Amino acid sequence: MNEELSIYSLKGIFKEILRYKIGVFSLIIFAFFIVLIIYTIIAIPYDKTISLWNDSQAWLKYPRNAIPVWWGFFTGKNLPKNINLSNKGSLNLISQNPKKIELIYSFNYNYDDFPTEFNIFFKSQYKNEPPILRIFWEKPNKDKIFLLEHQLRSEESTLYLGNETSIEDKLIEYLKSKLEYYPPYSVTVVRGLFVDTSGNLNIEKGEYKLHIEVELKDKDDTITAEPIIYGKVHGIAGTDHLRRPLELALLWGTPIDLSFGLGAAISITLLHLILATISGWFGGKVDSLIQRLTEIYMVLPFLPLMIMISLFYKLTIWKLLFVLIFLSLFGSGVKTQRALVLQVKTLPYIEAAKAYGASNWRIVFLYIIPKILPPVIPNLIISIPAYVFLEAILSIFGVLDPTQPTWGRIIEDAFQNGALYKGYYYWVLEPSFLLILTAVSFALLGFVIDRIVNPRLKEI
Amino acid sequence: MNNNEVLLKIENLRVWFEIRKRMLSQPLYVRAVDGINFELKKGESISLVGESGSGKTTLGKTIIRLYEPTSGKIYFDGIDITNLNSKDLKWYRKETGLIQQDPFGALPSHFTVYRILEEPLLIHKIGTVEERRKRIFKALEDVKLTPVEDFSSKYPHMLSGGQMQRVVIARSLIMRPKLIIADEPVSMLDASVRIEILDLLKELQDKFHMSLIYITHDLATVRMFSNWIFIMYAGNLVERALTNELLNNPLHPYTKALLSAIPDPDPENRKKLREVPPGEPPNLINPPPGCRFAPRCQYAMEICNTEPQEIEVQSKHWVKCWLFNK
Amino acid sequence: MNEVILKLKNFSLSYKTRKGILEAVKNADFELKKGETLAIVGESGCGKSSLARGIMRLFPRNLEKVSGEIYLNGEEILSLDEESYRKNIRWSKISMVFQGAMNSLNPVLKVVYQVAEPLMVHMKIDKETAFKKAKEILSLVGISESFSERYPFELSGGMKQRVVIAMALITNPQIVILDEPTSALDIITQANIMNLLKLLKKEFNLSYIFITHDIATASELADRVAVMYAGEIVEISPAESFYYKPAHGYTMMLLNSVPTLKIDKKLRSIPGTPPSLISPPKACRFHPRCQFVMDICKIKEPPMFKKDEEHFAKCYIGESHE
Repeated sequence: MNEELSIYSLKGIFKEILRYKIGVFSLIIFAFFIVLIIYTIIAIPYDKTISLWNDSQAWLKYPRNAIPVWWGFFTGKNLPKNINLSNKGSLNLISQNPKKIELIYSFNYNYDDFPTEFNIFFKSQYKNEPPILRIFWEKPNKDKIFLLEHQLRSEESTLYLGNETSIEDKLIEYLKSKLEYYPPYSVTVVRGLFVDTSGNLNIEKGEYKLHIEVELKDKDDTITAEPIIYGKVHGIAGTDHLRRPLELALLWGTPIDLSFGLGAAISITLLHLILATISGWFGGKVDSLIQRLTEIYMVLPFLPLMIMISLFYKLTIWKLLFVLIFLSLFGSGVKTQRALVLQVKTLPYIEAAKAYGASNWRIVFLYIIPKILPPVIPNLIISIPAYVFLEAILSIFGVLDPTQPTWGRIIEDAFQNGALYKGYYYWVLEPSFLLILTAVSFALLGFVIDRIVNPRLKEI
Repeated sequence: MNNNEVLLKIENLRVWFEIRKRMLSQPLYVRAVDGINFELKKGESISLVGESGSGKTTLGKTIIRLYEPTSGKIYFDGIDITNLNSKDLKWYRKETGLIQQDPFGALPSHFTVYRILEEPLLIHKIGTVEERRKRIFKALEDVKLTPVEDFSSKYPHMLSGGQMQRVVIARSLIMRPKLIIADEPVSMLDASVRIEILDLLKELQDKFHMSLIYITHDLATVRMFSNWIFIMYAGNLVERALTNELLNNPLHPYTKALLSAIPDPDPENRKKLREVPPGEPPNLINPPPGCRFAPRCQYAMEICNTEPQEIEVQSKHWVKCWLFNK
Repeated sequence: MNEVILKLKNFSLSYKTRKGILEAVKNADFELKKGETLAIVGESGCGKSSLARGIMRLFPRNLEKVSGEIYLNGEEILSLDEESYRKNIRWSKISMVFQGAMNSLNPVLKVVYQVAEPLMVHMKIDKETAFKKAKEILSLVGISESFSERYPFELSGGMKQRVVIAMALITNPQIVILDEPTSALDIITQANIMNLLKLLKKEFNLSYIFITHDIATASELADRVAVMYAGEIVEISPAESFYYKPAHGYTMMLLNSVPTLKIDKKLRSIPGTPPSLISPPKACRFHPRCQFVMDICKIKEPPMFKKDEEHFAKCYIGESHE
């Protein structure tokens, strides 16, 4: 043991941890988490996150169930990203009266897979009647296909090209004219738009153009369009069924889950410590009372109770913390730590403290608790992921407040939407990975600190 | 200061510990201390000598009220402290100090030396931060742990056994108590440092004019500093006398046995067997009636089955034995 | 009496620790004759227990290196493989009374069983014979038949120590290593145990290696005394010369620090603390604490000087060393 540093000083503990490889490893993971948390808190305000997370309109321009970009690399294909055409457009004035303009968007499509959706968001201001649109699609081979004519319904409206069966029909017509037979695959809008004319489901790569001819009914009417071709990959974490980028929840899940785990572990351990010390030190009736209560608590079915309470009251995660602390108040920790107290109680320095007049409470808080804290800390650390898991489990049961973005929440969403069945593995694996990383890092740190503070486990 | 003033007076003190308390059975008692009387004057010291289980530690700790006396009286400075309430007990804690056997265990390992010494001052609400600092540094100087700044910031485990015991001594003296109980203060230390610790204790006792009760099983060390030697056996004081008188003229058979059992470093020892009584001290739950040493005593007589009274055989030499009780 | 039964040559023992290699015993050289007691005295941590356990080949897990030679009745035993050592030497030729062994008796076994165990384990003797022998030995060490059927917690400290001694004797060893056999006992009990050890030694013509930190207790048994300091044997001599004419500075100061009952002398403690065995002082390891220190002590390691007949000390005092 290092002679200059005490295990009661943080610096001393830190230096000791660095002597172990797994200690260094766990500290690296912690550094990662800490950086993540700091970044999250600074970069993405919490309130905003919560309101965005629960706002179904905020994510319309994101792809649905897109896999993470890096995940795409493993497929070996160049998967499409979102293509927002609004800044790739040019405007031609066709005629002044009636006012007709043409919006032309041209872009290169070199991906190996079809996009998922194609929506155009319109904003327009009009006096009497909304503008009428005629949409054309120009393929790299310069074939120009008329897709549809459409009158806007309101000042802000969205055209979901994928839902327009008339477009499908037109595309089938086009393909049939090229192939001279019906295409052997089912033609959806996005397929029809990007498929080549070989008869197989291949992408035709090259420069595409989207023409939108707009007939404005009044000369002061205006229109802007934002065509978006939705990709299959998005961001570093992908998106869920509501198009929400998962990194938001993963990032905010880190401080929420860790502070939940930390808060639960620390307050429960401290309460156990205090109860155990009071029980062991004062003895007699107090001891009996605390011990009997502990025994009663220990036979209570904890998880079912938690689920029941969460179900009835739809707890937020912070209320859940209080319920959890209350339900764990007289846990088994009281028993094990009481045994430690009974040991420490007989040490001469306690007797010495009595001899120079220390009061009972002073002995409890300044002499016994700090002394039994070191052997308790490893258990505290190891129990943190257990509480994080508990939160996840309760989330998966769907009994927690669904508005909080937590890791467990993401897994629950994934299950609800059949992520594994549909092959959206990233959706489950990402939060699971963070959960496991948390568990491993805390467990390793716990083991290392256990070795440091319990010399019995230390190798000579 | 009047040297003849009595500081501590013990009258017929008994400390019995109750054990095996079942609902209906008679409670049993361990008679750890059973009927003890003595006086201690200010500035004097007593060596309380006895084997383990003789009740010497119990007696010492009862005197400073770490244990409750079962019966009898303890007077400290003329005040009856046998049944103090907790407020007055706190005052009494200031007046007495305890030095324990095991310096490794006697110091809270989570405090620095400075904090360890500050604790009694904080508890008794003494002085300002600055005054306390001065007092702590002075206390460290007194026990020769210099430079004091260095030592005050150390944790106990960075100290050697001897240094730890110095801290223990400094702590027990920081309130300037009038009475110190030193319970085997050197028995866990290496032979080479025992002497300096005992020397230090003696020096500080003289300097602060304290009374001291030195509890030990090792008669060889008592010559160094005590005025009195009390010999304790199975809860009784069997003999008490001034140090030299007792060492040169032991009267009680147990004292004689004890003295003859102590080896002095002498190569002749190996050539002879020691004349020591066989057996071991009695069980204090059910001690022999009468003299408790009788079953092992080579002079045992029939009368030894009744308890002898303590009598002053010579001036300041008391013995509790029928041999002198005619 | 003059037959050499055990001989150590350059016996060294080192352990791995996290702070470095700890040299617990360095170049221990001594002989033990039949029927003789060699006391090994030294402060705690000087390596005396490591030496004793080393002779028994009971090494800790963190053993770094053991070297040198140990001859038992002229036969080298350090190089024996563990199996044959266990079968033929440990406990049957050399047995040991461990420090604090009385407190590590198995609380759920009757003492007679525990005493008989070495016979059943090391010598494969059947239970009945072993029990009979155990009872004999127990009565020899002063434990009556009725007590031999009891459990350890029913025995007093002195009796438990007698049981432990009986365990060491049951295999009729030639050498018994006594590691602080009386340190936890009361003075009178201590004297009783010492008396017992003296009687047993005569009875069985045993050789003892008596490990103790207490010079006064050492004189109870020692025919010769070896003083250990910081892993080295610094002085070895017959008991008389050790107590009356010590030759090493450490021995002199040690004798001066021991309080005695009969002689009222001015005691002087040894300043400082024993050195770390990981990085001991150069040259003479005692020089930083020695009141007789000379310049040479700090520069050159003293060899074993012959001070007298059978009296050797690793000290420059009284030597012309220029």
